[in-house]
Amino acid sequence: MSLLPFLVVAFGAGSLSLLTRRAERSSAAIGLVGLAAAGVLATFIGTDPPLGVAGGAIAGTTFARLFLALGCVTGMLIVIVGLATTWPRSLPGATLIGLGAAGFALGVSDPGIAVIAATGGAVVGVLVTLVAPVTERRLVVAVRELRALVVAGALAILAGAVVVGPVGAARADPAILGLGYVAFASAAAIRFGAIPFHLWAARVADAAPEVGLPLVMAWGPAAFLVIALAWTNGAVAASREPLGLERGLVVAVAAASVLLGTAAALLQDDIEHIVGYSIVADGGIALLGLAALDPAAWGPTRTWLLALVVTKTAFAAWAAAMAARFGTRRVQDLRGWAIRAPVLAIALLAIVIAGVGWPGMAAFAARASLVGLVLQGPAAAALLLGAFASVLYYGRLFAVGVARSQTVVPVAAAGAASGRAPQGSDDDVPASRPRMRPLPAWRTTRTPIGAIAVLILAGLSIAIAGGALGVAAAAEGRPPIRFETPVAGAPGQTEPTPAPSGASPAAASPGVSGAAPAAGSPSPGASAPVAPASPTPARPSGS
Amino acid sequence: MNFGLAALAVAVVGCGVIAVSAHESRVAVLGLVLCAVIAPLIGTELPTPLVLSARLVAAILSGYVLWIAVRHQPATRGSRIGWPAEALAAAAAAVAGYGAAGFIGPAAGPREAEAVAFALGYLALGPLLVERDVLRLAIGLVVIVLAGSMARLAVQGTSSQLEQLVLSGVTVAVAGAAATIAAHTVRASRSFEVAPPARGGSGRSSGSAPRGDRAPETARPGPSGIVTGR
Repeated sequence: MSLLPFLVVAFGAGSLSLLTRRAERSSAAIGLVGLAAAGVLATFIGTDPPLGVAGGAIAGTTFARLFLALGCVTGMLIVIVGLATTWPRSLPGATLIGLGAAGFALGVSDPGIAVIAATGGAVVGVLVTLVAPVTERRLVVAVRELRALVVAGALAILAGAVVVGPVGAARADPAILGLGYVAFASAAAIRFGAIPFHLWAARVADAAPEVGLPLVMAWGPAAFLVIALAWTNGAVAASREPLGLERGLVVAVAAASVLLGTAAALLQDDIEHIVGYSIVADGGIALLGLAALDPAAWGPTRTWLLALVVTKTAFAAWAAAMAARFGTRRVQDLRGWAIRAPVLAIALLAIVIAGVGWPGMAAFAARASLVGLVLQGPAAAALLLGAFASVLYYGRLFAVGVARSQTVVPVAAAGAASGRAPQGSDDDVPASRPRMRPLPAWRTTRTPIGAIAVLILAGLSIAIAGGALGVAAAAEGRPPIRFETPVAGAPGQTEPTPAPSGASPAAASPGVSGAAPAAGSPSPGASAPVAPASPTPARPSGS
Repeated sequence: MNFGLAALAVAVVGCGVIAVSAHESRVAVLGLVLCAVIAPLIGTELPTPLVLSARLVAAILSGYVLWIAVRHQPATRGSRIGWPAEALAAAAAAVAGYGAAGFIGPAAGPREAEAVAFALGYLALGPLLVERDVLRLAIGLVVIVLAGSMARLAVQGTSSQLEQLVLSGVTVAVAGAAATIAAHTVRASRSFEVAPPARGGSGRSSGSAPRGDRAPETARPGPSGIVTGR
């Protein structure tokens, strides 16, 4: 029940912001107010009993609360950075609808419905890539992204239909089970732009504004991966099929993403591309959670995802602020940036600490756990080393930042003095006429406000990577997704569903209790089903 | 075989063939709308009024947003192999789906649904693989969503009202996003065709401008005043 107000505000304000996006100032105001209201409502999401809605059920979880609250806060901050730098007018509306869809997907009890909802929210995010002037390149990028999203969604829908819980997994042929597992994992890999599905993601990073990257490449895929993880743990892992070849394939994709993504980020000369490939590399770590097929991967994967989305949002905001401040995104043209923009330098330092990690931090331990669950010995060490190599591209940025050069020309001050946008809104032409004429007070203060927003985001990323704000408890909490459990000795039969009324919520619906699964406990997601208020017709027995 | 379901399946596939093969944009959109309207009727039991109305509204709304995008652009690429070939291939896919019902395990849904899923899956392949025509891509995306829902129905037997409602929303979202892209494409090039970026110009050469990596696209005003890149 506590999830509903958030969903109403997120979808309502998001739709209103998108519908009014031609009136950019009103649209931005609606979006910001909506994000603030949704953020407040997200903090009230609790682990209440599942609410029956139209034959299904939705419930809040501690993870959904933290994920959505962080999404709203970082969404507000990135919108502020967008207002100060590049302004994609669909950003606040698409962010709200994306978060609403993610909230619904994280709260609904059926993984098939969750996948459909997550795909729908992601599709709306495509609008962020369509910034003026709409060039053919951007259209092609939008087309490819839309195709990738829908194909990934269709793959996951099919996989979720083929293997429905442990009962379906037990009845399915192992080859079909493996195909379903690979299909769902491929969908997650496509969404994260994992190698070899990285081409569309690279082009999105090329065409989309920096402030739109987190929504398209991090928040939506993270929610999708959480659904995939719940389905994998609840259906595939519970079937006890080893699926060695299929798991190896997923590990190979994840490892390639980590290693090659990091290498690509190191070689790129464009800070927006560096952000994009760093998301690809960190997404590879998250994919390892799907390959583990072990309930022990549940908490670390979700911890890593929380750290990933916040850290990469901060990194993208930093890139946007840098481009606006210095009028270039080429690393080689940014010599001496750290000396001229110390606030941004401090922000990047915080992002490095959050992104690379430090012993004792939650994200650091989560990454080590995930690697240790799927690889052993030298291979694990090599992959961990590859993951830590991210310090190299951050270090390169710092090295350039402290280098002495006369080429860096901060354009923000000149832009503010002349009353022109520092980066010319979202146009390709530098310092062109802003689409939204800024108010005088905002015109003079937006650069420091944008830098402060980046700094706050960076600080938040350290807090989340360090495990603050209840990250560990939220990550270990069990999902509302649940499947029918087979009755012992009667394959194919299912237990009758107890209604949650009467019993305590935690006892009746362990999936939303937020308690950490104990060792040897059933996989997250493989719990007793929840009886919705209007139950669906009983499925006929298999022919 | 349930002849009522078979008739509905034939109607859905027929409308899908029209949607992907018509050279007239409005006819293609009309075919898509009819396909989306009839598809929810396939099932072991009739959908509830809530589900039926939601799917109906979603189908019409999807068609409407696409209509807005295509109203100034009457011609689309259509199928390269023509509607008879598309129809025959879709029929073959449907027969294969009908015969393959249960190959992934005990199927709880009607075999006709699996036949429709296979046929729609085939019909969506062409538009999804050929990327130049945005309207065809939009049609392909909606058709693949319908195919996914049919496959899910075929395997699971029934779907909850909530699933149908969410599916309705996603159909509208996909059509809306695709229509937005189509509208921009029509405004930029007065057709549904978008050219893929040339190799070597994928933005790796970052310029000194904030968007300098898009520099190879020499900005020039298009026919409608919109700056388009080439």
